[in-house]
Amino acid sequence: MEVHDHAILVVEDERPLLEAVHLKLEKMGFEVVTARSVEQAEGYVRDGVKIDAIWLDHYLFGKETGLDFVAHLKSDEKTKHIPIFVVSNTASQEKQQSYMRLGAVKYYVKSDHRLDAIIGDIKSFLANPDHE
Amino acid sequence: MNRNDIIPDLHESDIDALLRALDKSVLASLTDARGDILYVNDKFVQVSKYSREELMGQNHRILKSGKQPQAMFVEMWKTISSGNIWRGEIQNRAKDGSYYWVDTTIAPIIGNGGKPERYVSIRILITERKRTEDELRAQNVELGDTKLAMLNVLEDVEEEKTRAQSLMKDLEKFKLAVDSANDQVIITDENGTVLYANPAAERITGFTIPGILGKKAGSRDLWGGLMPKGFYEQMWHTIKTEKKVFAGEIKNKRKNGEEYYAKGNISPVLGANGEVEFFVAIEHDATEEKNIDKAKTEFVSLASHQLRTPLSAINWYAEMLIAGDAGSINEEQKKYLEEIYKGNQRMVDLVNALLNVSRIDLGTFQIEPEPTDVAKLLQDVIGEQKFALDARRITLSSNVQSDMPQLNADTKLFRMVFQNLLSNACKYTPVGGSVRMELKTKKKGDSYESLTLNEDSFCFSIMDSGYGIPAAQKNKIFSKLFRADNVRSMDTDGTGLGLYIVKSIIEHSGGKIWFTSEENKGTTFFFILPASGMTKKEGVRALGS
Repeated sequence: MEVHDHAILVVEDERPLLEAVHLKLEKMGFEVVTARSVEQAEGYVRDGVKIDAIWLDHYLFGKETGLDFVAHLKSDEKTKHIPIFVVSNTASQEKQQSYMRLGAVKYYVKSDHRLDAIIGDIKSFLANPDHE
Repeated sequence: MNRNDIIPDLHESDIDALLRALDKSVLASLTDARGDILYVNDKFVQVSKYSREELMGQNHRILKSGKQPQAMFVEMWKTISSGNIWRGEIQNRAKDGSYYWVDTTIAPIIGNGGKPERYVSIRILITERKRTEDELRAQNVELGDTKLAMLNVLEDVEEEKTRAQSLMKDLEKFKLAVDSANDQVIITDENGTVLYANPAAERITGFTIPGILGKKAGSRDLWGGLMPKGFYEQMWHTIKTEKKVFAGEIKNKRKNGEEYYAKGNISPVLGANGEVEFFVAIEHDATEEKNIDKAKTEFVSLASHQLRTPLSAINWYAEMLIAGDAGSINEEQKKYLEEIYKGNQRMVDLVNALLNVSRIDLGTFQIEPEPTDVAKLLQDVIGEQKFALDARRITLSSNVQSDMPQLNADTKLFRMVFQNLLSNACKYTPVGGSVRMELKTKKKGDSYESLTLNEDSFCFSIMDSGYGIPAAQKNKIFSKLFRADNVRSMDTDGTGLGLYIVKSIIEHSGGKIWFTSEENKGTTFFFILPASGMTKKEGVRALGS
């Protein structure tokens, strides 16, 4: 039996989407922690919650965006190794480039991808972190 | 008593006295009936310049000047020979050839036979008077001419004045128009030194009109200097060297430092010798337009983001239901759910397409060229479409030139072009049909289909055996949301925006797209792109998905 004990932090402000992602991740064998704002997400990080990967939206509750969150994580020795998958509905080239420059693993436009496809990618990445 | 009778018994002394008096003032002479001179007084001698001896016995006609009409003399003789006094002005000739005028009175002396025996003449020298009269006459004529000339001149002046006034009125109108124009109007000499600036220039640039006059228009210490050097060089080359109108958008700065966008044109005004005399620059502040455009772009982005959120929710929940994540489902439930999922996918495609269209319309989309293996890209796209092609049992063949070079292309956009053309070919071909694609390069001067290529080009064609496009609707094929009548009733999905987007991509990349078609036979789409590749286009957003 494969042990999928990876924990994913999902940061998404839209409730129905957050729930769908949560459900599917669990179905596909992940532990899930959810947050709806950067502040909330950083709280978990500070508290030392186990996080193996992050599913991150761009527009969130509160003042900061997903981009700010990535910047914080990547500037901290303790967190800069955590792979970040950006899943957003803004399709701008600029934003995409900004995320990739900061070190995100991949950028998805939400409505263009199946849940299981995105999660499949995360799974593959965690199983073989050097392949991308 | 008849005054013509000179009483014979007049005393000599009376006659002497008379003659002496006459000597002072008049030329007096006495002739016989034939006109031969019997007596002349001293004055006569003096004026005629003949001596008395030369004159005596001569006929008076030796003094004739020849300048008077004979008719006068004829009339004179007639008058005096019939016993009447004649008076007239005669021009005579002196011995030295000079001329003199005399006011002449000739009175006949009637003899006993009732006929003139002698003639006495009294002549008053009027040469001076005559000269004066002539001068006066000449002066009068001259005055008359001068008066006429002056009247003519006055008339001309009046005309000119009227014309000038009318011109002034027109000019005033024009000046009023330019002064009250909303757009900035600046007129410079051939070196760009400002000769005139209208109030709008002041309003837009923040510099006062006196502060602008005499300076070089758009110089760094005025509102210019923000564009790259090449921009200004290009501008000067167009207006000064090529003597053509330059139109464009330029970023300037107001006096207070605020940057703004101006749109306008600069026109050279040529003199009679074909050289530039002035430049007229008209600009309007495009800041408002830019802001509106920016707002539109942001609105569209926001709208599409907002639209995508519920679509994602439907997508994912339908996906999970179909996958049985909420419990197993029966075939019928699966069918319904799949319809929901498909419908939702169409919406997602539509939102993506609308977003692209708005970016095209606003000109805000980017083109980011990079070396692209177009042959491989085509194969990828074919791979993606394979499922749809097989489902309709469509035979696909592709003929790709073997040594296909790379093309500097925006991969994302190029993929969209291939995807769209291939999916259309598949959609609009009946089951069992065929689609044939060809990709090759051609050289400048070669012909491709009906065109002669004016540069080295990438050439692509895709031919289907499908429904074709009705002739009457061919000109609408590239328009937004258009679907031809012959396929509208069919079960095809799609956004109706694909070809509009494809045409925009091709044309913004410097290429050309066209098609040939026959109803119920098939359609072939062609496009060419310069081998030099797509030009990089700065934009705000990339066209996506």
